[in-house]
Amino acid sequence: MKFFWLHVVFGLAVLPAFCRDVPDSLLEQPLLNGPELRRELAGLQEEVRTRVAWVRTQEKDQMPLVMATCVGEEGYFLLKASEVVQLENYRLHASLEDEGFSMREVRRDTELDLLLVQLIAEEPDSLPPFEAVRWTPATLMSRGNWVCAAAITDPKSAALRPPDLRVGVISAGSRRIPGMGAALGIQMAGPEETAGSGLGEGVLIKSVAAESPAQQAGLRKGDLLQQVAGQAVADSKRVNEVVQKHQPGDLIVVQLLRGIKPLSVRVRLASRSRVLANWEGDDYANGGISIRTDAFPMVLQHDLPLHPQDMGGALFDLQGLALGINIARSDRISTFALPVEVFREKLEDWLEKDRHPPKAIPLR
Amino acid sequence: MRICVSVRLVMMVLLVLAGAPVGLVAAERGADVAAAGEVGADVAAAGEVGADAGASLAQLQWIQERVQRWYPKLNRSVVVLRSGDGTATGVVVSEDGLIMTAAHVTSKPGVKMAVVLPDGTFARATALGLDPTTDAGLAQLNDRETKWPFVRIQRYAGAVRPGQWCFALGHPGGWDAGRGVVLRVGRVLKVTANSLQTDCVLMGGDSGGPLFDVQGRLIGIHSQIWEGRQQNMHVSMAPFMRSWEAMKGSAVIQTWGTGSGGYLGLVPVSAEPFGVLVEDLVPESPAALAGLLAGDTVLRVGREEVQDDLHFAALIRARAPGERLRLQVKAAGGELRRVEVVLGQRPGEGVTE
Repeated sequence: MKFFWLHVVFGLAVLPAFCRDVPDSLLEQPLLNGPELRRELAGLQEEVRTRVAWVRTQEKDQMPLVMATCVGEEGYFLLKASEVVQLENYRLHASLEDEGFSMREVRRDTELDLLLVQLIAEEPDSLPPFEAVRWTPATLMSRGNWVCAAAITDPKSAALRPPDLRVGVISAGSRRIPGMGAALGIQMAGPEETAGSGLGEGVLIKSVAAESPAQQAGLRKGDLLQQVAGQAVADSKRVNEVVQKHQPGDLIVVQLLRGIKPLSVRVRLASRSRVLANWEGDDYANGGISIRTDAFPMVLQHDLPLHPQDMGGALFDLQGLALGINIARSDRISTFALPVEVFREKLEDWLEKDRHPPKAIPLR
Repeated sequence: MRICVSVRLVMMVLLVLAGAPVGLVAAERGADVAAAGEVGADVAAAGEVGADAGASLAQLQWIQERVQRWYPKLNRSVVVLRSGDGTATGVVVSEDGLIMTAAHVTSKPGVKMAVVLPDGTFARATALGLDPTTDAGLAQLNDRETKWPFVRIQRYAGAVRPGQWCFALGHPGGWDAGRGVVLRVGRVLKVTANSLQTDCVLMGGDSGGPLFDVQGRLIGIHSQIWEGRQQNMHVSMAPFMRSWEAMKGSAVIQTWGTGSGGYLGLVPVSAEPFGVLVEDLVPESPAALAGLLAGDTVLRVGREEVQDDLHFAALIRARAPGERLRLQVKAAGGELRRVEVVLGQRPGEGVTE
């Protein structure tokens, strides 16, 4: 097992990693989020469970599993947009029993990273009624206020299980999280080095960051980038320019030359801040962090032990009223939630327009 | 493109923990009684909702009130410490600017550090003494004239028990004006001779930051994390109290040349009304070689009466390997006997240099 000092070091120094077994037995059961508290808060857990749902792909392994929050009785749910790219590949499960519902995109808001969907009825009027969250102002919350959320019991498994209740506190000041843009997670060679490789026009990849979009898409050291998102690239500056025009979560196509073989690869971009912080793959978040972790107009920060898959679920107070939507697992200690004030008006507007689309006025 | 890794954690081996000398533990208990009048009201309040260790809704509400009452007072004393290219946390514990932090933050006496105060202004501090084995460290704000806001210390480390509520403050990842001091609420999971383990989740930059009990008293200094979210380690007050004057005088505490003190090789369980029951023994260990048996109860170590398992661990680890020690033992059948034991060294702690 790895052991980390808390001391943070800036720079590129490569430090030795030592491994050693834990010498003393450590307690298995967390006290704050353990069974004791779950028993005590069983009513709250039920309340929270009825208002969230799971979303997963229809592929064989059915991963990933992410959370959604019910915001309208007619099957309207909010999700974290950057976690659910091609909606047609996913189904939403509102309970352990249902077969899963297909979804229709009502609104995708890339600024807030929110996706509003409605479940599609297989037959007219076949949708059961759903229980929408009841919102409460988040501005009243300050450091130390208890909050809770539903969390996927085992994020590594695609099995549907009742979500667990997690309890924690508002841990820091509400604030805007500026965006640092998107990144692929590659280190690129200069023009001479690329030319020296004799591969041709393009940009040579010198290294690929751990768990980065580039690594997940299968890009390798030695690949020659030729086109990024349809743009020809001749130097690293151009690659950065093209990538910076996109948001974390966007899918872009990268064309490259591997040896003499031309390849076309789809890459899902992540927040640049995430890629840089995790370059060497030290997953001090333990469970990973979200694809998009920044560029939010306002967030509540809390210390709930959640995973990236739990994003899209609502953040509740201990009365079971919703304060906002969990939007990004940011690091080992922080999860961000969009406070309801940020999206309430927009959401009402999207719902209103979808429920009552403008009617054609008959011509006389 | 140049890679710029902005934040990187240093991985190191675990330090095995040393123990607290007995005399001091007793002395500290006296000090705690003297200070109890000050916090008497708080203790009474805790009594209203049972102990301060459960997790009922009423308890959660009570904890929230406590934490929200203390946060605005305590966060004024939580500072960022920067030295070299690292960032960490410290907490001011006296009006003239004494700072408690982790030894791996100060690294050695005399090191100059930049301090970021909670309002964003800068000051300077100098590292004082440290105890590298337990990761306890002190520093001093260079400006001793300002009346610094400071926090109170729970001087008796033995008062901290597993299951009790606590909260952590710190500057994880470094200074962030919009975010401020970050709060985490949790419970004490484990208490050892020199450290505490809690589920207040820590990360890089929290090092040296304070852990408080719900009476707002300092009970720990953030030290280390393992991968697990429940694996957050803090230096307890024990090593600070043990070497307080020496560390203030810029001494580097070297309790043991190597390792973490004496080793017996038995599993102690607190017995009633005092002493520890030997639940199990490591074969060929000093305890086994001396003839101790599972089912024995150790009543005294030397002349000292053993209070409980923690006290026992502290008594053993406070002595050096090789020391000859007399134990008073009660067998399962009730007969008393004396056992002579020669303390060993914890397995795996041999001299490596």
